[in-house]
Amino acid sequence: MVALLVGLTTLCGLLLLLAHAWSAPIIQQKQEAALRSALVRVLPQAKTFATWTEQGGQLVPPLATGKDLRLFEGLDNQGQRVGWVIEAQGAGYQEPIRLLFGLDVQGQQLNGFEVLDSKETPGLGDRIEKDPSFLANFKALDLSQPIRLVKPGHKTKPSQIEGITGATVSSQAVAHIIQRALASRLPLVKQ
Amino acid sequence: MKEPTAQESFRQGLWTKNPVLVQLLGMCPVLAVSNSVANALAMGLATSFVLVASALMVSWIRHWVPPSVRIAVFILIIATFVSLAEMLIQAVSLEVHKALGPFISLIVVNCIILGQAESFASKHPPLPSVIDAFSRGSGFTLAILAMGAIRELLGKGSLLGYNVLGEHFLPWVVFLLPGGGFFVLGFLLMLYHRYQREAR
Amino acid sequence: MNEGLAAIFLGSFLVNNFVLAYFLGICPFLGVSGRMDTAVRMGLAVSLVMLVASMSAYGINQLLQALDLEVLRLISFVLVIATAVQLVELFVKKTSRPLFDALGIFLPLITTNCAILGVALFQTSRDYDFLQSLAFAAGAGAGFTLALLLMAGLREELKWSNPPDLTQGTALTLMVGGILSMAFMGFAGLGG
Repeated sequence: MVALLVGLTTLCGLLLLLAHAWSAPIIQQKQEAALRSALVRVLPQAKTFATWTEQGGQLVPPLATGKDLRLFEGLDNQGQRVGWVIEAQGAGYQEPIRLLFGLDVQGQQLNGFEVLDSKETPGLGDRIEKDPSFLANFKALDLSQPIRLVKPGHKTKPSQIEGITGATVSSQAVAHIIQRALASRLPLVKQ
Repeated sequence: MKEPTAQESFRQGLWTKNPVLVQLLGMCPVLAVSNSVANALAMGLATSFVLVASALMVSWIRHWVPPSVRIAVFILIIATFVSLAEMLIQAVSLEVHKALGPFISLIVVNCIILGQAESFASKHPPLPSVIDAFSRGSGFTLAILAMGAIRELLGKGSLLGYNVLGEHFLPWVVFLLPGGGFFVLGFLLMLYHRYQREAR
Repeated sequence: MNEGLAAIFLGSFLVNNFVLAYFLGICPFLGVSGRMDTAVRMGLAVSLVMLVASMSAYGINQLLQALDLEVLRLISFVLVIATAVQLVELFVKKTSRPLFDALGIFLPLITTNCAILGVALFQTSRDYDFLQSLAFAAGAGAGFTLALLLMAGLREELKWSNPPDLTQGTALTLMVGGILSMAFMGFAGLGG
């Protein structure tokens, strides 16, 4: 009886490992393609991207297995830096939100934004991904002053993010994630 | 034991003994991933795949499994097929995988599958077991698709992402929220009972 | 992720109640919510197993990550939970006879309760550390018990009212569950 259970478990385990060996490269390829197209949407000027992560205030190449949040340096055909894409993550309404945002070379302006991963409430919170007036906030967001979230219709300065009615928690979460990421990433970008 | 005919199996699985509407099994995914037709369809297909594959497996080994450990063996087989299904979904479409999230893994504890293994597949030869599993899977898919269609149509005004009700339709967002799931399923159950009663 | 323990507890207890927002543990929610006293016992049994399962799942996940065998996560979780339920059952039987008599028949059913596996899967996908996982499991158990108690209380009252006969039974329970779920959304302001 025990032998049967152990044998069956081993068999199932082996089967899964085999399936994993087959599917892992396909999945990884798809993930990379998806990331790449998201990067291009956030920073269209760049032709290639160099991937970095942060360690002790320095930019270092990421470890292969690392789960650290990454910084992508956008380069044009001549290898000139044209901007940065920052990966950031934080708590959403229920599940974590993971997003990308693009910066110009000096880190003065935020000019691209894309949600990579979120499970915000369909119809309400998920408008952070596609609501045109919310996304318009991130076409040219001034970073020379601290960014702030304001109520819909109250945006007066280019450093303010206008929230979405009915998605207060989710728009707050996005603003908060960007604020936190900027605090740690801007000094690196400006170096 | 007498084997039911294929036609009988289908009629029971799809309608008279529908696993969701009559047996009230597998309610978690029916409520949780039915906020759009695409998600509902993916969930229905994935569950049916696991259901059929585990039924075949359980039926094959039914003579070698001692009764005292049968539940453990069934769960192990089901968990293996769910893991396979998850890899398959991820390899085919990252989007679908993202939308269903942890609910793919939770197919393991969908009572329809364990119930089918225990009450049918472990007592019948492979072919009838697979037919029975397939009809129950279709019944589940039918129910979750009905939920998905109603919720997406009223909550977003679209079906499968295509706008159906036009620009001027004001979506009833409540149908996409968890509460809406409960309401729609309750409503479907009432409709079903009403139909059954009139048929009688 | 660096959320406070209190925020995680409140989150899984009220804001994202396992039953009313994630639809986990619906079967006992519909099946065992007819009477107050059974609801209390079911809630206790589930909370107890959730804590044990959460700890074991955390351990097993660390092990699998160290060995780079994350493909086997699901089948390991399922086996670990089944074993944990058995152990809890034995332990309760040995230490407290009255508690065993009270929880007895519910414990085996819990093996296939999706709320338990849900706790294990969610804590993993959110990268919670050990204490965060415990807070999460405690909140989820408390939330499950709360939802079950509310529903049982409402259903005991409903016995005295006279709803149209088409809506009687599960359909009515689902409708009431929908209203409860809407009410719980109001807690979103608490923690976010």
